[in-house]
Amino acid sequence: MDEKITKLPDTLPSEITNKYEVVDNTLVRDVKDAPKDRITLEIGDSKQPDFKPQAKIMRWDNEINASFRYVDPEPEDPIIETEGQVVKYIKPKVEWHAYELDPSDLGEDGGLEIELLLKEKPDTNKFDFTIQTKGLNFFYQPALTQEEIDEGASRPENVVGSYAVYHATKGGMNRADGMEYKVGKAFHIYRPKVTDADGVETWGELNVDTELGILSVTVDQTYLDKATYPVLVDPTFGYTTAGSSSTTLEDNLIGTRFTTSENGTIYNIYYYGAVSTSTKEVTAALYNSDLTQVTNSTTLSTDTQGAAAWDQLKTNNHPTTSGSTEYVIAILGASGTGGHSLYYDAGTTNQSFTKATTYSSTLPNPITSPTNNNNQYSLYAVYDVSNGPTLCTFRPYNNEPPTSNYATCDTRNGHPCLDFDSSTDEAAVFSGILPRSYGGGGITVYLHFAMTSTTANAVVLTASFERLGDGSQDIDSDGFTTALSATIRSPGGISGLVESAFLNFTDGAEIDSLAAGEKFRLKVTRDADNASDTASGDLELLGIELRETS
Amino acid sequence: MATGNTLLQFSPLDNEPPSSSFATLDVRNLHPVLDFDGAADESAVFTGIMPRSYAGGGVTVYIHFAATSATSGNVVWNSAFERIGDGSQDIDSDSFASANAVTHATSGTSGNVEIASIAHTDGGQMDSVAAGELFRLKITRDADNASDTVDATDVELLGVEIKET
Repeated sequence: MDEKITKLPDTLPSEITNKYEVVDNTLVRDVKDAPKDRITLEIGDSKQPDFKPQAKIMRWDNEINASFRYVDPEPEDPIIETEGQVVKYIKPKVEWHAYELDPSDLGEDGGLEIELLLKEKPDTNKFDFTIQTKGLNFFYQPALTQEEIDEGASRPENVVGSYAVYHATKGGMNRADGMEYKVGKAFHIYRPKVTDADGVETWGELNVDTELGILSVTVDQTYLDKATYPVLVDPTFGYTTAGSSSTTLEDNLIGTRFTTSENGTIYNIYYYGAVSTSTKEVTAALYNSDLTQVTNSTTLSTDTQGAAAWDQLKTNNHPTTSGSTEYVIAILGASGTGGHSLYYDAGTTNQSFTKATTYSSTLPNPITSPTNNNNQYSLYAVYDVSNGPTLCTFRPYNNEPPTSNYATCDTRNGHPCLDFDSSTDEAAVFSGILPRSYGGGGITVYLHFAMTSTTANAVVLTASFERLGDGSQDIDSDGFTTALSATIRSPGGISGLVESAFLNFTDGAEIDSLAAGEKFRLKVTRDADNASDTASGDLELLGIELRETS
Repeated sequence: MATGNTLLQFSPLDNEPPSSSFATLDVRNLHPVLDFDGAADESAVFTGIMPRSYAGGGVTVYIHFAATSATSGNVVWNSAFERIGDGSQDIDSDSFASANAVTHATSGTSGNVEIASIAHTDGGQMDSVAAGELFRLKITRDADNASDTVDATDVELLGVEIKET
């Protein structure tokens, strides 16, 4: 007897066909199409011929993933329908719905809504989903203790009883040319809200048992007894990279422990925080595991009022770190009018600590007698692994400008510089011959720049290579490869301070397969119309170094 | 790269002249040169990125020069570093470290090129420039120094080499 295949509708609405690739009876799409942080969503099960009430979230090119399939107790055949972008798996008593949430709904990269629509009072108050995961840790977010609340911590209602889901092995120390793990957070499963037909709400109880492979949502039986049907149960998955709770940074020294995987040079420390009023100073530093400060590792920044966001703090003199070694990233904020917070999730036992410390831009060294906690603070560092020789350098007057949208030659206090506009993308082009000493280790491009006037926000710089080679490029046309980009905070406090951004190009396609002895061009562009380029006024490029990465 | 190798070299065309008292770009028998006055102190400024091969051994600045017409006397050269670095120097102001100096005799033939050298130890004498950092080098003829005896005539700079000491 032929087995009946449950299919997606033959005709799907444009809200779905415009977004998803339909693979058999599964919908697939890259929610975030970023090479260093790709998020892929699958609705259905691509390994099965028929449609399943399942959603699978993959991050970092499927380095980690998790799938959640509704355990359907009803024996009847399902009907699959769509309504706008909502996919519905319909049974007589319960419907399973799946649809995406925009970043405007949920922040950061948006999320996924899974709904169970209970059309009548169910036989059970517990609804199960089988889960399969790869490379993930699930951390339960309990209600805050009174002590934590007294210390300034805050946990939203939909986070109490939720799960923060982290990469099992990555995060905290991010190689600049690698995946953008940040703190390793893959997504968050928020506490499900339950709403009946009259709008009466309650919270569902979420439980994840990775040993059994079950995610369950339990709804209070009394609520179900009294509810007006249909009732909607909505576990929500948020593609957030930061913690979902917050605590004060003011006069509160917070540190969190990470282990490096290789030698590196630390350029930046990032934290996810918010400032409610005016400006607040914040300082971070890197510490050894014995809580002595790593030389040259301090940062200093003045953060202006703003909603929660990732913020960059630059190490003053770029400390070096060793592989397979535990380090601590510590941060301290100034007190004053308004709040200044750091975000976090409940995490691994004794991963972090706090210590009440009066703010100073000089952090204590060593840190003595901190109080350990189990939090995973939204703090991470980015390191550069480049250790090769300088290959060549370029000065502003080496620019061979494109015919339009070119950076403009200028001087500042006698320094030649190239001015890049803040609203229109402008570029500069430099040509060279790759030295014979190049050993195929990839190229790191360092861009030394200042800002004409601004001392706040960030700029986005991109660079791309064009191999001219020997008989490989017709110079009547251009052949630049896809550019790599770096977002870097503007010089803090003084516009004329020179900053350096770097971009790691792997050998091969990223450098247009350039080889030693071949002529090439390097195009540097300020991606001024990129939403992340928030700095006003011109950027002034003072010099470029090409270094063999390894 | 081993200690003692060339780190960088600058030609007269690389000069980023100061706003006043600057050496003047000139040509002598098609050689680009920078003319340094015989009476007033004049300077030339060069910007570079310290190569990653620099291993902290200090640097020696070699100044290749000829005299416009003099065939005797001494020239006093100064060299000074300014570290621009990464977040360490506001380029709206100058911050050259104290200059080091050398007194070097001109050739008996005015067009013969002499090489004067000035050593800077690692650290303060180099304004703590480190590998991979942007910096400036200022070369000055200390013409009003009593030891500079090539009076009233120019000397011509043809090139500068920075070598790890």
